[in-house]
Amino acid sequence: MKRRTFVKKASLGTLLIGGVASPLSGMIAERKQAKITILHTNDVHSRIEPFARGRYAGQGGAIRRAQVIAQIRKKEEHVLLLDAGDIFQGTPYFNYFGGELEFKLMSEMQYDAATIGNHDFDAGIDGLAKQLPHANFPFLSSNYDFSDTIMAGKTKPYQVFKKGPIRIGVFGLGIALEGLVPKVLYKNTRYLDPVLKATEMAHRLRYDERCDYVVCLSHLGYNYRDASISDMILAKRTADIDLIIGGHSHTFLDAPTVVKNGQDKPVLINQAGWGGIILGRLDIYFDWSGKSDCTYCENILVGGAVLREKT
Amino acid sequence: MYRNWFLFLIILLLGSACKGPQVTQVSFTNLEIAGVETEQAAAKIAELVAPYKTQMQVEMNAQIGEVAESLTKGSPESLLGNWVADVLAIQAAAYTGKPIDFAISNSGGLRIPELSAGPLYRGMIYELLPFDNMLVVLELSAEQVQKLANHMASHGGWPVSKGYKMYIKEQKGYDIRIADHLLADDRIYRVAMPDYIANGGDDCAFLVSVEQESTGILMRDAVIDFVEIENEQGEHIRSSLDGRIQRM
Repeated sequence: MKRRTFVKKASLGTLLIGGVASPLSGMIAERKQAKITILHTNDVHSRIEPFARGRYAGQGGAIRRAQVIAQIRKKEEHVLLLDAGDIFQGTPYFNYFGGELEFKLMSEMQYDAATIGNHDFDAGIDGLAKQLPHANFPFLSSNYDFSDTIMAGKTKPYQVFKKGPIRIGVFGLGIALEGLVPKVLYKNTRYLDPVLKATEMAHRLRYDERCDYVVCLSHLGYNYRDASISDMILAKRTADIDLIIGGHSHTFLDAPTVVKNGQDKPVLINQAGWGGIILGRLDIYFDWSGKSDCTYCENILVGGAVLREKT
Repeated sequence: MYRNWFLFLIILLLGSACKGPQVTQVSFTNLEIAGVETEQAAAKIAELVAPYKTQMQVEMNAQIGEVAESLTKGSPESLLGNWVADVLAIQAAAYTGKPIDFAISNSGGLRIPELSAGPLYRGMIYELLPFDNMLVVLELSAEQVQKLANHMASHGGWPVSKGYKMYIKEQKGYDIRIADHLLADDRIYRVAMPDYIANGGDDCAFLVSVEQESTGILMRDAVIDFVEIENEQGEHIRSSLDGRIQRM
């Protein structure tokens, strides 16, 4: 598949390489492609142990997640591991330890970044701030204004990750808290318009930070029946986002959804269920062979095994 | 000829280098996390989890009291619902330092069908009340109490505390009495409830505008606290049906 895309993209280039001495062509081939592996979770909800009973019995669990991640890291050079929020709340581990263990485990698994979900306020904004020292990864949030809270200066709107030759820009988005989370918990956190912030962030990452790939880490939710802002709506109303890694709606997807954005370019939306049952994986291939009109730059979904909840 | 090709290739490369990489394809796999636990990565995680798990198990498996006879859940009133509401009323008064007229919970807030007779372990209260709902107090007018009564009636009756009485007829509350007195228009009633309800949960939007007085304690912790105090005094957990909510 990789080969075919390359051939379609630059038939002249292929011809040229064919005519050149082998050491150079080897060098060119090396220069011309890069692969980034993005792994992601969302709404793990303090599920440190596998589900003990019910329809998900025996599934999930931090130990096995760590094992799967470690196995992928052995094979892949450029891995980015992300979480889309609601790390907290759901088992007595959170009731008892306030999320300390959740952050320690994610640190051990070498998460690169996470965003903040509504349940991450369940021990109050002070409870969240208190656990931050246990996380060695940044929390990305561009539309929560924490300036009048204890979280001031403890999150970043975005971060650029350099993985080999590729610059990946990641920014975070949170859901509206009013009516969802008691104000006494989120205090003076101000919720800013996610479409405006996403537009601003994506533009900055694409053009000022010169990112090759722009990822939105979202806790807005996949899709709603009403007009509430969701990942689907966000994708359509913004530009320069390549991938939305979602959460909140506990959505199990057989495959990432592809939506055309405001510039008629494809945006991928993926979500990994909840409870740590699924680890989302996207392998993204980059190519330097030229054309910027993107006739052949479209994201092509190469079907992976469809693994989802057992029924 | 060969040299020309080479030069052309260099130009092509230089030209394309400025444009940056393009995404050519994306492949995905949503990996199911299940299977056998092996490997070192797993060992480190297990090592991190172990002390927390041990500590939690110690606490969750700690006996905090004794249930005299099984408390089952049901409506319009039930042993379990009556007990929880009674405890909430007692604790709300204790934590705010002011008297409470009555306490309620939504039925859905109680998550197990039965609190079994015998030793009461802390973990059982977590199963009964898993949500981190705060216990709050609302000051309601007679009209608002009537509205709440109708709402509870339309749900078949919710857990209410001792001293509150009403009849349910055609999904409405009738002959509501608090401490044996009919509702009075000139009175304000102090009502304890989960903040979930006070914040409009379970279709209680009519309560959202009412100011909440915090007790500063989670419902679950208030109940555990009550059980522990009773246990220290050698009291077993018991409840009774007294017809506080009846169908007409």
